[in-house]
Amino acid sequence: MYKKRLMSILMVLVALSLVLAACKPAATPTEAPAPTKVEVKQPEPTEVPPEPTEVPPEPTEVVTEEAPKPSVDPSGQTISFWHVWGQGLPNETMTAVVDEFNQTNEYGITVEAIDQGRYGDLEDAFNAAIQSGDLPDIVVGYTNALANWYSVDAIVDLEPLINDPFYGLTDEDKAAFFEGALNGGVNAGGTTIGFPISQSENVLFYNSGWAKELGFDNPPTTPEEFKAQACAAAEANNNDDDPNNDGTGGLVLYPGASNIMSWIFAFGGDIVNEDGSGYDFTNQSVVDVATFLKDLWDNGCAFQTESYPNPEFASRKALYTMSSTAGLPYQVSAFEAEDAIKDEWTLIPFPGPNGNKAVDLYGQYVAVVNTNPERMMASWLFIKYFTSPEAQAKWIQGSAYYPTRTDTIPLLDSYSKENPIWSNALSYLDYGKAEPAWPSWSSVRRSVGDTFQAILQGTPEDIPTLLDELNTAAAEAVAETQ
Amino acid sequence: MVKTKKEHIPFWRIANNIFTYLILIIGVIIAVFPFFWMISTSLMSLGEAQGTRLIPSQIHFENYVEAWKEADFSLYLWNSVRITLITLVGQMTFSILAAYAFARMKFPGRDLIFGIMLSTMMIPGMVLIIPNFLTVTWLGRIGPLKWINNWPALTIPFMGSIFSIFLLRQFFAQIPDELFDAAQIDGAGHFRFLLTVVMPLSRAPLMVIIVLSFIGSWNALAWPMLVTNSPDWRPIAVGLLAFIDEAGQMINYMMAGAFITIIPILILYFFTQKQFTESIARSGMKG
Repeated sequence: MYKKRLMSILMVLVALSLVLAACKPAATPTEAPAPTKVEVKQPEPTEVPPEPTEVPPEPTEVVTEEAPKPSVDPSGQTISFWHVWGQGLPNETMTAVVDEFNQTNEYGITVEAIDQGRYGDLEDAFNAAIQSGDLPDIVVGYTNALANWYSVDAIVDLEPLINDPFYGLTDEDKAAFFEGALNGGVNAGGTTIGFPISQSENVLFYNSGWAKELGFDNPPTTPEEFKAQACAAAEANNNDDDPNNDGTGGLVLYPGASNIMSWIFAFGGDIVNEDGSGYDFTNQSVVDVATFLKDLWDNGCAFQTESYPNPEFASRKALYTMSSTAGLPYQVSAFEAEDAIKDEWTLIPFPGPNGNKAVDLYGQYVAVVNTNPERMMASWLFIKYFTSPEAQAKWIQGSAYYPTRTDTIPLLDSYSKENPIWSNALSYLDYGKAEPAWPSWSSVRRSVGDTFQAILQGTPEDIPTLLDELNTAAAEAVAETQ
Repeated sequence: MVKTKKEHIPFWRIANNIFTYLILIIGVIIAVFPFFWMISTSLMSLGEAQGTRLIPSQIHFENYVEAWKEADFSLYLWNSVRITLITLVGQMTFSILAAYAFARMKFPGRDLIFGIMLSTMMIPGMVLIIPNFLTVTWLGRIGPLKWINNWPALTIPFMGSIFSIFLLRQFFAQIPDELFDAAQIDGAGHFRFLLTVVMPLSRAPLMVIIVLSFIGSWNALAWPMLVTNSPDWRPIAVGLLAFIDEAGQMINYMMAGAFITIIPILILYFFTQKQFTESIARSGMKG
């Protein structure tokens, strides 16, 4: 009896597995598109023979320009777009913009947007897809990841697409883009490997309400003012009746590469050497930043938290935090919590010597995958649509990112008024500078974080040695990726 | 009326019991606290969830609805069911047959092959990810079946489980030879003996394999992320990733999603608990 039942169960399970396996038809094996160098043909000059006419033409100086003709036909292509916006309003907006493109584009192009998780997950998936051949047509990525993919011919130079006489951008369009945003997509060799659909900034979140109570009416404009306010906040927390907030109050100092780069830019420096061939972490600006942060740390004006410092910022445990503007919704939520102190707060740029200010720009760059001219052109047409002022304005309002073109800004007037904190940082785009779009930057930025953590834990005398070691590690990373 | 003599319990035994119960209570708190935190956080607003509160000031049941919708859990749940069942059936089939062969059949090199197979248990799973990925990619290229983004890549590599083979082999080897002799006299061959005698006697280890294989498949994340790039076959654990982005995490939705994710595992364990603990107690093994 029992064995019969067991047999029956086993048979049912086997049958069920076969049914389940057959439930969804296996996707039709698609041939991995053979890697091709992008060759978007320039339209050949056409000579139109004059039509025979009986009336002798009168001499005229008006020269009619031939309208450019399409070099490839992207009609009817279905392209896939891998992105990282799988949740909430950004996802809804992305889906809406893609749907609108699918319904309105005159070429019958269909875009399928697929969320791939976080940037790291997407990079893993793309690296795996290079092996398997199951590549998308458009991919979002940090520029250093794009640089890696370009080096193995997985993505293409965008210049032929951007400058295509028929499908490309007009001079007016090109001029409308923020120079910094466009330049961020250019690799060390001068090739445009990524196109910016939007951008965000690494800024300082500043509790202006608390600062005013501490006697500071204005945000800091120099490192000295910054330190004075941070130390005053730390002192206030150390001296109050609450022992739980001792050691907090100043800057939440997570020495990640983006935060360090923001300070270096604010101090008027860079990490790229003079001839642009490698890194230089021993220049005076980097040393000054290391010394400044070490001084803040040693004086108890900076501290670290175990996770995102949003609750600390919303409860007067931190006067400043450093974060991407993409973290705005999380900070807003932290202030909505019951135990939050409802202070006034805002975003400010990183202050440097002599009133210099800077923010580290992150672009949301997209790249076109190396497939065939028709698919690549179809991909470009979607990117062009996505970055048109109207579509970009929708995307900005759904994602809380910042625009990459100036003519989108007027379309965001009411959004700016409704979101004054977001609006504040809009003007900082002018001070923005991007991190290097080099393949080696992925590993070097990890080394930057490790080195600056070691600087905080060591003594001031260790700084030159640690930066020297960072320089050596960076040089090795460059050599490995060349 | 007979007066019963009250039994005197020595002090050291009371102290011993108190100490034992104290240790057990601490153990229970340590084991249960993460679940409590998960459920509590899943009912908070995002602002509260980011902070240090333990109990929500207001219960947000709607987080579960939002999490379900945001992460497309209905699709991912169905995918996980399909992946888990196919893997389970495949793993059971191959493990039972292989374990039986190693336990009860004599063939040249049996112990050597078994030893080599066992040695692969020492290799960390993450080390195998890249070779396995290259293998399934290659198989997809040469064969008629699409592997990447399809059920074969998600299930077939896990159908051969050395741990399951080892566990079953140990049980099968303990079955007395006399039973096989008797079955042979009744005209049964190896396959019939396996189905009618060995498997019914090995219900406990089979349940262990079912539970462990189910948990393994259900919770898989790294491998499915690598071999899928569209939601068509992605399992439920991938859905949880939707709540993390570059600047933060929707921790309240993530915990709501995590709770939804573990419900099937809890149900399965509830039904197989007796056999599971029995098997662990008999074999002295831990999964």
